[in-house]
Amino acid sequence: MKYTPIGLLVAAALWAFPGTALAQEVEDTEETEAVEDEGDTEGVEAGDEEDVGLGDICEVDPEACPTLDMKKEAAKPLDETIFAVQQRFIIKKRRFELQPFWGFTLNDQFVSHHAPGLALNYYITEVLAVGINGQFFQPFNNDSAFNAQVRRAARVVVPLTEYQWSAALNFTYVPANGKFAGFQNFIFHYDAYVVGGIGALSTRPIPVVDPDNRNFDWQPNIAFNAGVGLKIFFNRWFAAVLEVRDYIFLDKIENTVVREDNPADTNGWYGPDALTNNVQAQLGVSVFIPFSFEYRLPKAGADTSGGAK
Amino acid sequence: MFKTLSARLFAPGILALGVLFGAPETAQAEEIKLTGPLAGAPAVRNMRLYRQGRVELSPNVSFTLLDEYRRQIIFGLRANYGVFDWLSVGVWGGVSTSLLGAHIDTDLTSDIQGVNAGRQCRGDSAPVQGDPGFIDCELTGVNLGSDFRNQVASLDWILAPQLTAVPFRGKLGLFNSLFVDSELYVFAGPAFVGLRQRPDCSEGSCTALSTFTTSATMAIAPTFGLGFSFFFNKWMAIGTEYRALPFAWNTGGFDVAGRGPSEQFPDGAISSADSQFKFNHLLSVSFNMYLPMDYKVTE
Repeated sequence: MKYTPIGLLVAAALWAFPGTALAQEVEDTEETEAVEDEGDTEGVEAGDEEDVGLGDICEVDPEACPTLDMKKEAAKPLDETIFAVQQRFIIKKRRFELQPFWGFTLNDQFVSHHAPGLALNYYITEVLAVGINGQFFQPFNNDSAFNAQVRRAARVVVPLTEYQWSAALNFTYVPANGKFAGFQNFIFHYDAYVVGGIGALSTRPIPVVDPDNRNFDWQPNIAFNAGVGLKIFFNRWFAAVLEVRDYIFLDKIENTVVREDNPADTNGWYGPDALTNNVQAQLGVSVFIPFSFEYRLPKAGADTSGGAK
Repeated sequence: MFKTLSARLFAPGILALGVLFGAPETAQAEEIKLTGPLAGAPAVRNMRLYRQGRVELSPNVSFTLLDEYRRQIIFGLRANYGVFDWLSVGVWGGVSTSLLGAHIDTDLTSDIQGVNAGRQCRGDSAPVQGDPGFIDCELTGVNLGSDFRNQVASLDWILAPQLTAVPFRGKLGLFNSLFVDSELYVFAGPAFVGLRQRPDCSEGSCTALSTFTTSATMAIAPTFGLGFSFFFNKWMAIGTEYRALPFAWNTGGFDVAGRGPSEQFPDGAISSADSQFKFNHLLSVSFNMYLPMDYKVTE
């Protein structure tokens, strides 16, 4: 008689846990795939396993042998509570994030600075990362047709700047996590983050005022940056990233006045520095390394390993 | 109850990535085949139907992006009726700061006018042949009046009937403490755009001062975009959206085309050839109200 409560507890656990596991996640094991392939036979197998487990209890203590009608229990309506965020879909802490991207200029109608870039972040905590990023602009600066039209129509020269490269040390904070159901059929997880940092941006003026005499060298400028981003996860180590970031720096621009007495004097080539905002949309992907991770706490009935096996 | 992202939708991409990274089995790890009592269950149970059968009223403010000569802030209202929770019909419209009499010019406009004013091309002491500024005045005679700001085009109002589809519904956790329902929607429709831009003039007549002004006109263009809504209770949400409004217009009132091969050289006239195709980007923020104030919930 003293075994009755234990027997009931074990029986309840054996009955309840497998159902929960199937509802949440399915282990990517050979057994699972075999079950999926067998289709209708799966239910029979699951039932047999439960019968064996209950049979063991009945052998230990026949009085504790449960008399649950499994068909009736399975037909009961489910009223399971779903928490907004249960186990995070992805654990980022102590993982590296490699992020190749392409940046698109958003606010320069004269010269576009579309360029490839690469970022590397390390997540110190689940929500905070430190990292570096860089871009290579030099072959991709594009003097727009609009610029020439303004010069021709109004005979007004607007100083132009082209970029060579950038590099920055950044901190990323992830305040928001969420998930979307697509067409009520599948879900994907995403997070939103803010990022900021400091670095350098190498630029030089494009000589348009006195191109015959002026030839500028590349010069690095201190550049601060701040932005927001959205990361959409396709699995636990791969995501798409959309980010808008403003790179703020003091740009050295061409002097619109030419010294008639000595136009080759480099001291007269530069005008006053201009505070410049280079706003970029950055579209890329994120690869988290290592690919796999372990959850610290298990979710009831679920697989606790989170990555590629 | 949610089902996890189905790998079959991303099979080609994941397969390619698997080849790239040598870990094709990871893609399979994401595949979920629900079995047991949840097999065949809907992807979302007890889903709140924020839109179906309700009217959405959203006062909003839109900001134009990548403006060349004049920025606009558009004060608008969006009205939608949710035929289904995933499909709404409605209209968005608004009036701009320019229509309200407040012009927000870019630095480029100020720079051009600064140079133009310095030339005194049309003042009492206008340069004559031989003066340093004479050539500039001659060459810009078709393009610049006495005040460039008077000829800069402005977007005055927009009216856009549109369809809104909501393919993605979900929730957002903020600081692990605040959880809100959210949605990602897309929309499209035709737009009627009220403009003021420099009127057409023929070759030889475009140097007259009376042509350096703007007149009202209307463009019809497609409009489309996407947005997020974040619901704070049963009837209130905030939203942000991006909208594209592509059409051609002459933003500076310049003669830039009309002659030569492909009509890429000035012809001394202001015409439709001088209108340049622009994508016309807008970013909006909105406060959304839903009526009736209660929603239905799915099974």
